[in-house]
Amino acid sequence: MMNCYLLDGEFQSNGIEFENFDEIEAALGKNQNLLYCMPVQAVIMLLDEWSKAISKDKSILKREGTAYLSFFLRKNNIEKLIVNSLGDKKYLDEFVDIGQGKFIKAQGRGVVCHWIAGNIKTLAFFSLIQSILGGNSNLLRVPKDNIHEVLDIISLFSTIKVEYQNKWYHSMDIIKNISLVCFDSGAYGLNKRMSLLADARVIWGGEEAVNSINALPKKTTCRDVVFGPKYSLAVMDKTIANLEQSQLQNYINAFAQDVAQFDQDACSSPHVLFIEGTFEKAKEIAEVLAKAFEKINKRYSNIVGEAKASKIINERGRYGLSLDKECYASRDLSYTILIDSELSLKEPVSGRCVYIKSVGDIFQIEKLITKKVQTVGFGSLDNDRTIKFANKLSRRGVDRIARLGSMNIYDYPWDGTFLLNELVRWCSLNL
Amino acid sequence: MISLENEKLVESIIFGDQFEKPQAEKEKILLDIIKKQLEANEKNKNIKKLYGSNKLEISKLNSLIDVPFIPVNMFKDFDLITCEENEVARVLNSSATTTGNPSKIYLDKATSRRQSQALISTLKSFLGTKRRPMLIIDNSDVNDRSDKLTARGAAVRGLCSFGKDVCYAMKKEDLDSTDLRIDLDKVMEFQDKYKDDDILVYGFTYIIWSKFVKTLRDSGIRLNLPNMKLLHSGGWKKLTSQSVGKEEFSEITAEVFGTKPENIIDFYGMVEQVGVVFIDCPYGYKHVPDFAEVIIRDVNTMEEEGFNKTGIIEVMSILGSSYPSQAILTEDMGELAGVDDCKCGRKGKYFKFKSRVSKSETRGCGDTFAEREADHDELLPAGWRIPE
Repeated sequence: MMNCYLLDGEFQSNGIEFENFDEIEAALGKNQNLLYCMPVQAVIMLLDEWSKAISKDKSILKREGTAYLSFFLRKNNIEKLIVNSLGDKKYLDEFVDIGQGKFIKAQGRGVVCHWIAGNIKTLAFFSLIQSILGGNSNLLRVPKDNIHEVLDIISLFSTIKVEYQNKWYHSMDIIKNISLVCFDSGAYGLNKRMSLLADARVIWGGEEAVNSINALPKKTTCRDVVFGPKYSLAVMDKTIANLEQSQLQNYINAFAQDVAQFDQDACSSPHVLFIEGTFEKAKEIAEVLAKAFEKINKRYSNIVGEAKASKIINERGRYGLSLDKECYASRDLSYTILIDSELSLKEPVSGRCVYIKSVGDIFQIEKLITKKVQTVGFGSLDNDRTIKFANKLSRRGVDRIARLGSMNIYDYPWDGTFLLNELVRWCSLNL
Repeated sequence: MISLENEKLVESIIFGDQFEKPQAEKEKILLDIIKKQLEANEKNKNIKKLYGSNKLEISKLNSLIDVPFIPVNMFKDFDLITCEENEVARVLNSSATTTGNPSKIYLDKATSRRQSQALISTLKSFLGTKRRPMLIIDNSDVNDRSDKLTARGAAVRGLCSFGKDVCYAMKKEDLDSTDLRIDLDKVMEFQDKYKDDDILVYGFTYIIWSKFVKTLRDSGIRLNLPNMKLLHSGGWKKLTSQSVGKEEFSEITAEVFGTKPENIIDFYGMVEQVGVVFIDCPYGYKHVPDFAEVIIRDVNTMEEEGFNKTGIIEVMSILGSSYPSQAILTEDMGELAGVDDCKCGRKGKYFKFKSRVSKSETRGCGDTFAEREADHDELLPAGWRIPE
């Protein structure tokens, strides 16, 4: 049994119970034509209005991730996303002449099924919006704890209309191509039927979720895009580490923001900060970071569950008792900074728990990089060195090298993929 | 080594009747003792480092809640000896169930003696002073005389002070095995001899349930020991995973022993705080003896929780001079139920054990850095196969 919260443009705050996907499949199939008839520019304009609606709603805007979502939906950003992903937005509307009698067009794949992870409440939108731009209808399995937040945000999109080339376009025609469902992750039958419906599957989640969904049967023509479990870290080279405290504080504040966002549970959340310098330098930086966390804590307190609290308490104990390590922590569990000089990565603890490691040369960390390292937040005043560093790390597996303070900004490409490009079929015409 | 004066004070509390001191008076006495013990703990370089990192000024401590605690898992990672190494008489080991790495608790003779006496004076409040015939639901190896002792062994040894004519109800499947089975002949002989007497039974909760009670029940055997009191502890995690609750355990165990469920008494203790046991009073609460303290800490603020709010259990005690027993943060959750006013008449704090700390958390897409080949077969439901 599953609950459907959005179907054929109707919001169901309590969810309608369904045993199978028959009604959802029928509704999405019937409404797909509404998307085909909508020029991409009209979609962009509607999304831009949605962005404004979010930014005007204070109760929504207070929720983590919604301010960035509002930015993401803006016209300029969406146009840039399309150009970066496809080259030109015209491909979404028409066969474009690429010379020598050849024309190409990006068609929607059909029904895109999204399995959304629970750690970031706005996660659903980043694949949903790109799928809509690609002209697809969408079925999203959303974690039950997040469903009402997702519905609240979509409901701000329900009454928007824009005029483009003397014709009115309605957001509801897009919403009719979105269906939201919740069902138990262990419900094999429902997962299987959802998988078989998909012309493309977008999978966000941890290892177990990704492996289980990957193993479900699917159409032979189905395209998979997997945003699986990843690990992130940050690095500050000596040009930053040796700055005067007043200047250093800005970089540290930015890093602290990267840590605090999404409860440090995002794949882009840093868990380790490598400092180019001595152990003493790492301790100095820890003190500055402690101040940054204290400041953040005044606005956003850090609430952890039993499991995370237990991990933090144990790590504090280990570092406190170890002779060659240090622990800087608040009296409560609002932040924990653990310092050592071991050249290694550390398993994520989260809950504003960060390892600071002093290294002689930042290029030493190259050997620690695996393909599971997604984002490296990087602070350096030396651009040539940054580019050299980025080249080495990305060759080893890193997908993103981001400025400190922007590690969690959903960017394109993400996880090495231009998602929009994956969610269209490139069709050609030879005349 | 603690000072002679402090040691005398400790011993006077341990040898006295327990649950007599009102909370405020008790806290003051314990704080003074513990402050001196913390100074002695600095002999251990790891502990000295911890206190230094915490900028601890022992002389300025004015509340038990400010005493720095040691997370219980640290006894697995560090050798937390606070006496001379040649004074260590015995090492207690935990069962290493979760990590595969056992706790190591180093005991000198003085600590060991204080722990035994503390256990006796606590149990006296619940069992009286009379020695009773004793049935231990374990095998005799659990109490061997080697210099390493498990939590099970330590509990058995302590409780034997209340028993006479001790009978071990279990035996090993074979010499090298750790599997236990009932020595039914010995159990029946014990029953025949003592069925009308007040008797004491002790065992680890999980062993009692899985190896004794279930086996006898499945075989249709019901004992006839109406005047027994069964004390049990440990292994609730395994029982909870089998959906066996405390009530069901007590009822079925009482039925198998032929007694009333109120004679099945749970107690809470741990190898890191041997000598400190919290036994259910007739009103279902666990009481803190005068030589120990319990602080229920909020999971986030780490401050002391109010009544009936669940938090992490910290167990403090003044028994240890060879390891830092003064404040140990457990991985258990509990609720403070009251102070000084339990209907059973015992003074001090009383609380309820709730559960082990939950280890499950939402992971999402943030994950380990390690590359790992998943074993797909583990992840698939039965019959979920990719056809050849």
